Formats: sequence, structure tokens, C-alpha cells
Amino acid sequence: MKCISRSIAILCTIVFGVVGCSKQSDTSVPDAPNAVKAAGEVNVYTHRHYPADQALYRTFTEKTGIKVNVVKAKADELIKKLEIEGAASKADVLITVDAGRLVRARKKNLLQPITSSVLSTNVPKHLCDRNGHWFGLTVRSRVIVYAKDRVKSDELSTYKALTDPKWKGRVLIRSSKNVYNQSLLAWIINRDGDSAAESWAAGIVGNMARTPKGNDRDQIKAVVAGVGDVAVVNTYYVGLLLNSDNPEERKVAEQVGIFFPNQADGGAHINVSGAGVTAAAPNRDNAVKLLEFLSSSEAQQVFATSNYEYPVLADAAKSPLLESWGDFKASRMNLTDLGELNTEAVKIFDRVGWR
Amino acid sequence: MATFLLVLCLLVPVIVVGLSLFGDEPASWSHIRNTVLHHYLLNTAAVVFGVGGLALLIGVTCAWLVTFYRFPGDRIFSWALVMPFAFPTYIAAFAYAGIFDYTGPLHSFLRNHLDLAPHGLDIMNLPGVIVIVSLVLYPYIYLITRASLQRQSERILEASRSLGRGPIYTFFHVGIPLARPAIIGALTLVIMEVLNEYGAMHYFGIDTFTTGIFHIWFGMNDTDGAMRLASMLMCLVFAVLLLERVQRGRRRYATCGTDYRPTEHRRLRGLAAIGAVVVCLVPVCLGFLLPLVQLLLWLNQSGTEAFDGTFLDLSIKSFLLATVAGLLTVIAAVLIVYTVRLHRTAFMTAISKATILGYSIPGAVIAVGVMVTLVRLDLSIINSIGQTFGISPGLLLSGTVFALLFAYLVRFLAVAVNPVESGFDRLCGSMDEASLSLGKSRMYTLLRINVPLARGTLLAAGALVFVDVLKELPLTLILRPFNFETLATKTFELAGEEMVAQSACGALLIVAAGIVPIILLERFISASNR
Repeated sequence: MKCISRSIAILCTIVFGVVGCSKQSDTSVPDAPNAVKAAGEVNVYTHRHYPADQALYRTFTEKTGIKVNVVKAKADELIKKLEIEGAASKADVLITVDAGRLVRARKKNLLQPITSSVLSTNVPKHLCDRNGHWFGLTVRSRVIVYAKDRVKSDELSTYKALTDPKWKGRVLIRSSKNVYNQSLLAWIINRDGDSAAESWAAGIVGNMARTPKGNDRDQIKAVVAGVGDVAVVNTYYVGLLLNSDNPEERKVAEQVGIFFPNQADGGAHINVSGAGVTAAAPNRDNAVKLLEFLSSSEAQQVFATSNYEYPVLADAAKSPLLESWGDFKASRMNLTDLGELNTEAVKIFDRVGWR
Repeated sequence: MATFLLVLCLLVPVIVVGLSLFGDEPASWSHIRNTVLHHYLLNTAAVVFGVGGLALLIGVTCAWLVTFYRFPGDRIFSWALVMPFAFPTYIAAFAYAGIFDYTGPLHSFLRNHLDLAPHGLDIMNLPGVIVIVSLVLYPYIYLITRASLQRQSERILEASRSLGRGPIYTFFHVGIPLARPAIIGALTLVIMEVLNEYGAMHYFGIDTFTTGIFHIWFGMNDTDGAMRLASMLMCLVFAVLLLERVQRGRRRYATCGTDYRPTEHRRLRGLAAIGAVVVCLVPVCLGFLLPLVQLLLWLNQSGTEAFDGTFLDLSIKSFLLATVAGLLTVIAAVLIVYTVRLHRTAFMTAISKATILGYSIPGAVIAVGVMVTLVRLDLSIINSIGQTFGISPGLLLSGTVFALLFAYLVRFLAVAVNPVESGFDRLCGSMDEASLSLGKSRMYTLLRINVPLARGTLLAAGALVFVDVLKELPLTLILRPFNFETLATKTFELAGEEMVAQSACGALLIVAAGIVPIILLERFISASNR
């Protein structure tokens, strides 16, 4: 029996060790919501995994004394978590990487409307919810990347033109499971209607250089590798490749050109990474302060220089790289509409066999 | 009774998921059935049979070689063959994609030094994923089969040989059938692991049942539909488990009596020795060394910047979490297996099989089941405390380490139950009976007779769970408390955002942390067999 009691003792030590260890890191989350308020905190559920965000939270804490606590996971998982936790949830802010998920959270009544003169000044109207349930923080455009040695930029015009037979076997684009593609199709549905959108998707599938696989970076590499000639990707991935630690990746990025589509046709498709205050937020005021800070020129500049995303704040300084790509005309469609059409887009993708 | 309650607790999240079968037909169901379902089924079947077959081939062959033969390096292979297990599947997939990437070492070398640009040198396809996943999952089969083979009595094999049967006949007709419970148990683990694999399948563009579950959840915004698909998967696995049990019937696999003699090693010479070395070397190189080299290349390229200052904290936390989860899981598994052993009723067998279902469905789905369970419990606590004391304690269980440990228990019980079960299966029942008839209690018999005799398999079970928790991702991501990072979450954070190179440091740490218990375990098992 001696050995049993000894193992129990060891087990207890380890259990307390873990509990102690985890307490160290979240001493700032006491059990009673009242205490949380007094300590000055804000609890964030975020889908953004960028190191720059952590730096921004630190700056926010230095400026305001409000501590930022973070849980990172996929937006849909976080939405489900909010749903289950309901009124007892400790979360104050939900941050996602696309507007569609914010719309989804709003429709499930998980976000509350915010009126803030700072936010409504900083964030353009079409980049936020009509009633202030969520606000865009950074803009990403889905553009066409082409092999400079095989394609001339004047051969390119719109997303729709990529369905032309001349691009057969030359188009690279990732899986339809990807939310950026879903939003692009939702945008086309909203502009041109269901059947036009379905024939666009079918046209792209017909012109694909290969079955979709990999991420946006992989599509750009496949263009240079000669698997295809053009790829549809988000702008900042080109920026990340250009600044990669791997010289081979930098070489790849230098061999492709960026083309902003639909410049004469309403502007290129854009999406936002955005945030909203949760319906049950125990620290509502701190949450609003955090959102206001993230829309300020200081934070916007960090977004634009470290992750090559476009700022939502019109006069925020862009990185030299973004400047070098030049200004482009972005679609002014209200992003709420994209969220509404997301499921429809997914169904179209399945129907036309876009993997 | 206590065991029954334990099983019940562990079943609640699984039942929560299973209940979705009885709701209305989910909105997206007919769409899924008409468009993509057949695709999911075909791919899933291909991956399950492919990986199952390949992992079985590698695992059993290598276990047989290192257990019964002497050849150059056999001692080293004995533990080196377990190493690929330290690789999380998605990290191995990312590493292989990196090796074969256009900007990876292979293509860069061919392009820059040999002026070659071969097309079709690609690994991101169905055969590719089958090979990669088999290479990191075969250690389950190897480890458990070897433990079982090592306990086979030399006398039985001798009998086969003295009857004029060669080594191959003995292998297929004596050795393998005797190790069957262990091999099937391990194969079950591999298949369930394949079924719930998301990261690698998603990245490689292979649509399986599991990517389908997430397609319904994320794409169609239909959690109920996702849960329903998950429960269908669960039912399928349950049916297969029961079928195996029924087919095994009343056969027993214990070695009774006193004529047990440890197996003897035959020395291989010449071509046979070279063949054995090659057979063992290939899985070690492809499953461990090659992806390791890729990670080291990335580390060299991108450095440790992303992890600076958090090394020690992350490692200690991950290590402790995995240790506690491993201990708890093995204790639970022993209790369940022992109860089934005492009362061999169909009901108890079915219940014990049901507890391992958590392993077959994706971690994120289990996380939802656990969250629903714990939040309901929390809310009732809040209500009762609120009524009594007039204050609200907030969510006590969900969003704490407790939730994580509970979820690990639900999810990884299968990993422990299978080896523990096969370990106990090999124990002669008459020893229990002797102890009980001498008036010792059941608990005493368990702790003084069964546990010491099966300690090798118990340790193996603990180590398997330890390494699994260390690698675990979706559960940890969703259920962790605020600001809680483990090596796996930190690594995935970077890898998931297309910063694979920066994540190499974390991946290496996971692999390194996983190797430590594997080596300890190896030493222990070889010591106890001598």
C-alpha cells in the first residue's frame, strides 16, 4: 500500500503544479465578474494569430492600464463557444479575419451595437455593420497574381475574364473551403446574381491548372513553378513572401506581378478583418476602448507595416511596399451583404465541384 | 459502481454529440448528400484502408524483426522505430510539403544546381497523404505489437518449429494470431486517428468525412449538421468495434502456467541481416529523420524569434499538462478494464467500448460536447450559489484547466484502454481468483497483482497519452483558459498562418518533449524483460 500512497502523493503534487502554473499566467482572471471590472481588463476571442497583434495589445495596456486577455481559435469555434457560454461568457470582444463571420455572430445575437464617434470617424461606413455591431480594422484585397514572363498585365481585366477559354488550364486558386474565396463568390452573387455567380464558379473550375490544394502562398509558388500562369490570392501574402527568411521564397515573389481586378468595373473585391463587442461583455467600456485604439492611426500603421494589410483609416501611413503597389479602386459594397450570402456561395461551390 | 459513474461522466459529452442524430434533419443535409457526400466516403475509405494496411505492414514486420532476431543495430532500431510517433501528423504533413515545395530544398537544389525543373514531383495528393500519415502512425502498431510479442512464450514458438514449420509460417499462424488482440487494438487506434485527422487532409486538399464535418460547420454554418455527421461516424466506428469483439468471441489469449520462457533471439547473417536493417531503417528515416531535417532547415532559416522568452514556460506547462492527463487517463482505463474483467457481461463490454468513441471524432466536435456539458453544470452551480449567497461565481469549470483535463480524458481514453485491455487479457485469470479466494479485496488484487504484472503495458499506455496530449490541438485551442499557450497551440498559430518556417522551433520542441518519455519507456520495458 505504501507505493500507492506514494503515487497518490506524486499525483497530487503534479496536479497542484499544473494548477499553480496556469494560475500564474491567468491570475488576472478572477472568478467574479465584479472583480474583473475593478482590475481593468478586457477579454478577447480572436481568430487573428499575428505576432503584431500581441504587440498592439501590449501598447494598449501600457497606454490605458487595461490588461488584455486572449483566447485564439477559429472564428466559427469561437462563435460556438460564445453561443454555449451565453450570458455567463467572460468574453468582451470577438475578432475575426473576415466580415462574413462577424455577420454570422451578429445574426446569432452574440454582438451588441456600439455607438462611438471615434469608430464612426475612423472606419468607413461600408466597412462596418449598419448598426454598429462590428467594425472593420484592416482591409485585404483579393487580387490576381501573374507570372511576369508569361503574362502581360494588359491581358488581365476582371475576375470574370478569368473564365475566358484563353485561360484554360492556367488558373490557380485554393480550395472553396477557404473563407476568402467564399466571400469573393458572395460578392459576385451580390453584384451579378445567383446564376451569373454559378457560371463564374463553373468557368473558373473549368480553367483550373490543378485541383485546389495548399494555401495562398502555395498558389503563388505554383505560378512561378509553371503549374499555371495566374493565381487569385490575398495581397498580403505577396508581402509576406517578399519579406520571407527563405531567399528562394523572395525570388518567387519577385517573379510575379500584382494586378488589381475590376478597376473599371466597380473596384476590386475587398474583405476586412474586424471586431465586435460581445452581447454579454462584462467589460463593455474597456472593449469599446480597445476597438477605438485598434482603429487609431497608431495601431492602423502597425497593421499596415507589419502584416502588409491595408489600413481602414484613410490617412494612416502605408508601408513602402503597399505604396509601391499603388492606389487601387476598391469595391464599396457593404460587407454586411457578403456575410448574408456566404452560405449560398458555399452551396454554389459544392454544386460546380470546386473542391 | 464507482467505475460505472466514471464511465457515465466520460460518456456525457459523447452522448451530447450523439443526440444530434435524433433531431430534425439538418438544413444542409440534402445539399451535402447530393453534392459532396460520395466524395467524402470514397476518400475516407481510401485513406482508412491505405493507412491501415501500410501502418500494419510496417508496424508488425518491424516488431517481429526486433523481437525475435539479432541483426546489426537491432537495439537501436528497437527504440528508434518509435520516434516518428513524436511527430504530430499535421507537422509531418507540413514538413513533407516543405521538402517537396517549389521553394523547398529538393526543388531548389534541382533547379539551382542541376538546372532541372521536374513537374509532377509532388506529394500533396492522396497517395502522398497515405504514405505520410502511415509513417507517423505505424508506431502505435509497432509499440503495442512488440509489447505483446515480447510476452509470448518461447515454448509455443518452439512447438511450431519442432513440428517442422518455418519462421514465416510460425509468424503468420502462431505469433500473429496470439498477438491479435494487441494488433487489432492498435489498428483501431490508427484508424480512429486517421478518421479524425483534419490538419493534414485540409492542407493537402483531400476531402474526407472529417473535413466534411467542418465544411458543414464552418461553410454551411450548421453545427447540428456537423454534429450529426460526426455521430454517424461514431456509430460506424462503434459497429466495427463490436463486430471485432463478437468475432473474437470467447477466445482467451492468456499465457497460464509455469512454462513461460522468454523468447530467444536468432541471429541473422548475410543478406537476411541486410534486409532486416533496410526494413527497419526506411520507416525511421522517412518517418522521423527526413521531416526532422526539414524542421532543422527551417529553424536555421527563421530562428527562434517567435518563441524567445517563452521556451521554458511553454515547455513546463505542456509537460505538466500531458503528465497529469496521462496519469488520469491510465487510472481511468485500468478501472474500466478491470471492472469489465470482473463482470464479463455484454453490457459492461459495450459500455467500455463506448468510452473509447471519443477518439474517433474530431477534437473540435468533442470540445463542443465538453463545453455544453460543463457550461450546463456551471450554470446550475451559478444558480444554486446565487440563490444561497446572492453572488455569482461566474463560470467555474469551463474555461479552466479542469475543462481541458476532462476533455483529454474523454478523447484519449481509447489510447489507454486498448493497450491496458490487451495487457490484462494476457494475465492469467487464475491469479485473480487465487488472490480473491485468499480473502483479499478486489482493489488489493488489482493493485498488488494485476497492475504490477501489466506495468509494461500500463506505462506504454501512459506514454502514448502523454505524447498525444502534447501534440493535441483543436481541443486545447477551444477549451483553454485565457492567455493559456502550449507548445502545440503556439506552433499551430504560426503554421496555420502560413508561417511554417517560424513554427519549426515549436515543432522541434514538441518532438523533443515527446522523445523523452519514449526513451524512458524503452529503457523500462527492456529492463523488465531481462
